[in-house]
This record gives sequence, structure tokens and C-alpha cells, in this order.
Amino acid sequence: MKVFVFGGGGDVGEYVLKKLAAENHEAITIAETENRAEELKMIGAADVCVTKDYDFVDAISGCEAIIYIAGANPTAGENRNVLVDKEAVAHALKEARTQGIERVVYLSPARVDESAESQDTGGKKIPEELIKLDVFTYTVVYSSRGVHKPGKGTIDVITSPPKKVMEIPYEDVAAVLVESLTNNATYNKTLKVIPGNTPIENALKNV
Amino acid sequence: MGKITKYLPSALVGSTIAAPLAYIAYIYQKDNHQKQHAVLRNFPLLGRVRYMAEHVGPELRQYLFSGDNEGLPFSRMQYQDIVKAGKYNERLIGFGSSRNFAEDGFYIRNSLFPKLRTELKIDNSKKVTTYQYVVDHEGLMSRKEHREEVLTDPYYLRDEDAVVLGEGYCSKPFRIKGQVGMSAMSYGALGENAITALSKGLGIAGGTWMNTGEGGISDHHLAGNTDLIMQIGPGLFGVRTPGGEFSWEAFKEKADMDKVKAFEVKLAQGAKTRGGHLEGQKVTEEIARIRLIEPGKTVNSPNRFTEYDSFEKLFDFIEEMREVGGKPVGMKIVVGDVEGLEEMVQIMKDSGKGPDFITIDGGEGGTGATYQELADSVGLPIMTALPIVDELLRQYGVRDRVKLIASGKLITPDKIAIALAMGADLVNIARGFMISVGCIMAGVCHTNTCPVGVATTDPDLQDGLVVSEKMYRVANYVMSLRAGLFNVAAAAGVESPTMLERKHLTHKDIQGRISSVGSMIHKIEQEERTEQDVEDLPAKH
Repeated sequence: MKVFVFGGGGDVGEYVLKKLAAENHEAITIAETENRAEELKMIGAADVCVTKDYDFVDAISGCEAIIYIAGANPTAGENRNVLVDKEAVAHALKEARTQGIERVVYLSPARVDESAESQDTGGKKIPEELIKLDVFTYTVVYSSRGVHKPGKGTIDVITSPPKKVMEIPYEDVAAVLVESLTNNATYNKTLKVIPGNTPIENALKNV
Repeated sequence: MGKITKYLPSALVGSTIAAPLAYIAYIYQKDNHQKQHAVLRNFPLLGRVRYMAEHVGPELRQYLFSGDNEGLPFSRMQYQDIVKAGKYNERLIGFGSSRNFAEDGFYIRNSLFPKLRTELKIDNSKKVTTYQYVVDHEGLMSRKEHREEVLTDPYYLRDEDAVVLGEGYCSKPFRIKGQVGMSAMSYGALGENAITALSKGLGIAGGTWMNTGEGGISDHHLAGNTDLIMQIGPGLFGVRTPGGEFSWEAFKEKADMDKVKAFEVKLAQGAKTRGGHLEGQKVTEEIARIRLIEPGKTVNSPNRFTEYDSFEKLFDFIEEMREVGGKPVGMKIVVGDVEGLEEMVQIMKDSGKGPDFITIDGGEGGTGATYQELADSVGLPIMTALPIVDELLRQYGVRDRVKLIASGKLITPDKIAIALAMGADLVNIARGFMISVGCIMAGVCHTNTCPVGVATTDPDLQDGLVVSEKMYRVANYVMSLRAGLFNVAAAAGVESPTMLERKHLTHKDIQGRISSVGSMIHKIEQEERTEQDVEDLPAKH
């Protein structure tokens, strides 16, 4: 499947590119510079659109799905502290709709263990509302705090907020996003993902 | 019965006082009559305090009294920098530098428009699984910490920036995706646990190499998945016939090993411009087998390859090795005689022959064992030696045929970056790696009593060195150095540490004046001219 990844250069994004390549999907993403594009290709991107002004229209054509990792976009480079750019999301969704893309997997910038108040701060919840209201077959994912540790390949999907802050490897979060793409049990659902002992595929099948 | 109960207490009290007194009297007598130490004859008993204090002095200074930046060869701060990089993968410091800025020294010329992270030419496409420590709580008497598995960025060079030894000159050039490797340390000088931990750690980090030292290739060097540069010293260990001749058969056998990527002919080493030395206590049966020598007997290799006493002969030997082995061949030198070096470069130019790489060891380099007179005063330090070689090679138009590997206390990213800018393509580290596997700088490498089991072949002492623990520290140290190099490159305004040049350096003298480090040889020639001018002046009356 040809998948457009928004935020392919971020902590989770790099693992998403790698995972997509490993599962024979075609990952397309955007980068700020040629140099970064080269890096993302080494990691696993099939093609990288280099743009500074968020012009990805050509690159997105022909894609069948979108993985949107919020909090990371071309304007959220190392020198800009944009938490989540709701206009960027809206722009992306509009383009996706025009291109006839139906499937969107979205990683929320809010963590699963954040308080409701914190989750609302900075408009972190607005983009997912936009997605849910739109025509897409969506999956929204909330995860625990990501860390640079080797992925375990196992998680738990919970329904009520967890009692404590836990760490989940970025690699596992990426695997959840990629697995959700084709797993119809996750269609039109919001998943709360924490580290656990269930193999990712099984955990997502039974949501 | 009654008598015992009556006299026992006083007998006990009496003997507890009398026995020590008798012992003191005995020692007093002994000191007074011995003929070895004058101070004890004049001050019996009391004089012993001097010897005790002298003995524990280094430890007291190291742990209690020396300042953070005092102490040689490495200050406490430098030591901690290495340990922290290996253990916590951490190079951050708080409150600022403790370098003495009043002294003279090299500085990196930072660009006013440094490179962003996204502009650097790094290859982090394959992350490395390693372990590092995290401190949970630190109190006065205790520290609670735990080790956790992490995925780390290895900071490799991009393929197009990789440093290649022997490209175009041999059938199997050696491509290296990092600029930091392990300097020559033989099995025998270091024990099997240390060598194994280093081999495995360097293998985990990747993009690096391990120089076997002149003691031959042991199974411990092969324990990890790292590339080897086999060193051949005048003792010809590992590549000699039982009669002591160079064995082409043994050489071919080594050259055919996959992990052996290059050979290095050792002419000299920084701290010992002589052959290697291995104390008899360290020569176990296994080491004797690898080196083809007698167990338990001190080994001194000759200070020169007896057969090769001119550059022509040496280059022919190198040529033949490259031909037979198909792998790059380099040589390790110490710079002192600049004219001799110029002759070498001239011959390289005229004959078209010569090494694929030259390892330049600064006079400040370390060693397991040498003589003080050689360590302290023979051979120039690296920041003088390196630019001279670099410039001579350029002057004669042969720089592109040779890669330069520099060593001599280059244990932190800033020092490595300075060496790279001074002309090095790669950098060798020995003591930094020893510290990463647990060395506490006890300074007893030449004996077999290393208290942390690094520079010893004693199995009991080596028991203290746990390979599965220390190998990750080696890996973290290398990766941290490479990350640091990219930091410095970014500050200097270039995309990769391979692009660092002389123009990125400046030298500040003790009066605060700065000068460029453009041409070292030009400076020497200028000095010579000035000296000549002084000699030409009319004599004083």
C-alpha cells in the first residue's frame, strides 16, 4: 500500500518508515531539506518530498492511506515549538479528501496518561475531532510516553485511563500505527495503547 | 582454680599492654640496625610514616586532594568524562567548563552560522541496541541506579564520507564509517576479559576498528564482531617461523581472515621508540602459544625490523605484503626527525611506493611498559607531529595516497576534532578504551597486578572485569565520541567531521593572542631563517 506519512522524521516517524518498508508498503513523507530527505530514504522512505512551505500536493497523489503523527510537521523543526498545528492537519485532510484517500491513522500528540485538562491544552484534541467529523475511516491512537528502547512487539489496549505514567518504546507505537492501517477491527476507533504483554496484532484484533 | 580466677584479669591486662610494647621495641631495634635506609636508622619507627605516606600518596591525591583538573596523564575530570560517556552515554556538564582558559591551547573556530541537526551528514539509519545506566537517586553514602536497554543513534558517517584505506592500491580496501578506533593493545598487555569486552563493544558500536597490537591475533580479539587491523612489530609475533623469520605462509593465513581488514607495520610507538615489552609474569602459556615464545619469560622485541633498515627496503616489504594479502598496509611512526621524514616522503613520491596509511603516535601516547627516558623525552607530541607529516605529504603531492591516523591522549570529542582538523583522517584511542573497561589509572600496567583486571593476565584479578557489563560501556563510549564529533562539526559550520580542516582551528597563546595553524613547516623554516639571521649578526664585543 502506498502510504503518506506526516511526521516521518520524528521519533515515532522514523520507526514508521522502517516498519512500512519492512512490510512491503511504500512510504512517502516530507522533509525540510535534501539532506534530511536522504536520511529518511536510508531509513526506509520510498520517496521524500522536500518542501519548506508544506507543499505536498504532488507527493500525496496516488497514496491510499495516511499516517499522521501529530506534533511533528515540516514547520515543527528543531527551532519551532509548535505543539500541534491544527491548520496543518486541516490542510492535509483537505488534500487527502481531494485525492480520494479514505484511510487515516492518527497518533494524538496527547498522551494516554495525561489528565483531561492537559489533553485539551494547546488545542491538542482539535485535529482528531476534525478527522472524526470527516469522511475518513479513521483510527486515533493515544499512547504512553515514548522512549528510545527496543520494541517488545507487545502492548495492551485499555479502555479507562491508566493509573500511572508508563514508558512505551517508539518502535512499538510505530508498529501499532502500521498494523492498524490494514486491521479492520481498529476502523473508526480510538485506541488507548500502553506497554503490555499481548502481541500487537492480537491486541488490535480484539479491540 | 582460685589462683587462675585471681590472676587472670591482671595477666590479660598485662599482656595486652606488654605484647604491643614488645613488638614496638622489636621494630625499633630492627630499624635502628638495618643498613638500607638512612632515615630509619636515624629515626627508628617514626621514619616508617614517611614510607607509608609515600605509598598511599597517589591514591590520596587522586581521590581527595588533587583538584579536578590536576593529575597526569589524565585529570579526574577527563577520567570522569570517559566513564560517564561509557556508563550513562552522557556528555552534558553543568555550570560551564573547568578548562584553564588562561593557558595556551587550540580552539575550534565556531561559525556564526552553525549547521542545524537536519543539515548534518549523519547516517543513523540503523540504530544500535545497547545498555546504559540511569541514576534513580544519589545520596551522600549511596547511589541507586539501574541499567536499561536502549536504542541509540550510532552516528556513522554517510557512505560517501566513509574513510577508505588502500582505495585503488589493493584488492580489498578497508571502508570505515566512523573516525574513531582502538589503538594497538596486545593480548598479553591486556587480559582476555579486557580484550573480549573491547572486541564485543566495538562490534556493537560498528563503524570502528580494533588494532591487535604487536602480540598477534588471539581468539579474544575475534570474540566480537569488529574489524581488525593486525599490527606487525619487529618481534613478528603471529607471523613468524619458529626460527624467528617472517613467515609469508602465516601472513597469508592472517590476511585470508575476513575480520582482518588491514595490516600495520610498527616502527615505533609514542611512549616507546623501541620494541614492545611484556613482563614475564604476564606471559601465560596461551600468550606464549600465540606469539611463539617461551612462557613466563619477559619478552622484548627488537627496536627495529632487523632486515629493513632503509625506506626502500621497508616499502618493498610493504608492497609485497599488499600484493600477497590483498589488504591495505600501513605503518606506525613517531615523529622526531623531520629531515628523515622528508626523505621518506621524497622516496614515496619518486618510487610510487609506500604505505596506505600512516599511524602517527604522539610522544604523549601511553604504553603498558616502557622506560621513563623514552616515554618522557623521545618523540614529538601529536599536535606538532601530525601537521608536519600532513604538510610534507601535501608538499610532495602524495597526500591523496595515504590516510593519516593520529593518536596521543585524544580521548574526548573536542581533542579528536582538533586532530582531525590538523590533518588526521582517523583517530586511535588506547587508554580511553582501557578506562571504559574499568581502568582506574593505578599505573601498574607493567606489573601483573592491575587491581581492576584490565592490564593483567592474572585470572583472579580478571574475575573483577565482567565482559557483559563493560562491553556496552565500550560501545557507548565510541558512539558518544562520534556524536560529539558531529556536535563540533556543526559548531564549526561543516556538515561532517570529515570536513574539518586547519582553517577551523585557532591557537591562543598565553597572552591571549591568536594565531592560525595554517602551516607548521612554514613556521619551522621561518624559525631557521631567524636563527640564521642571528648567527649572521656581527659578534658582540
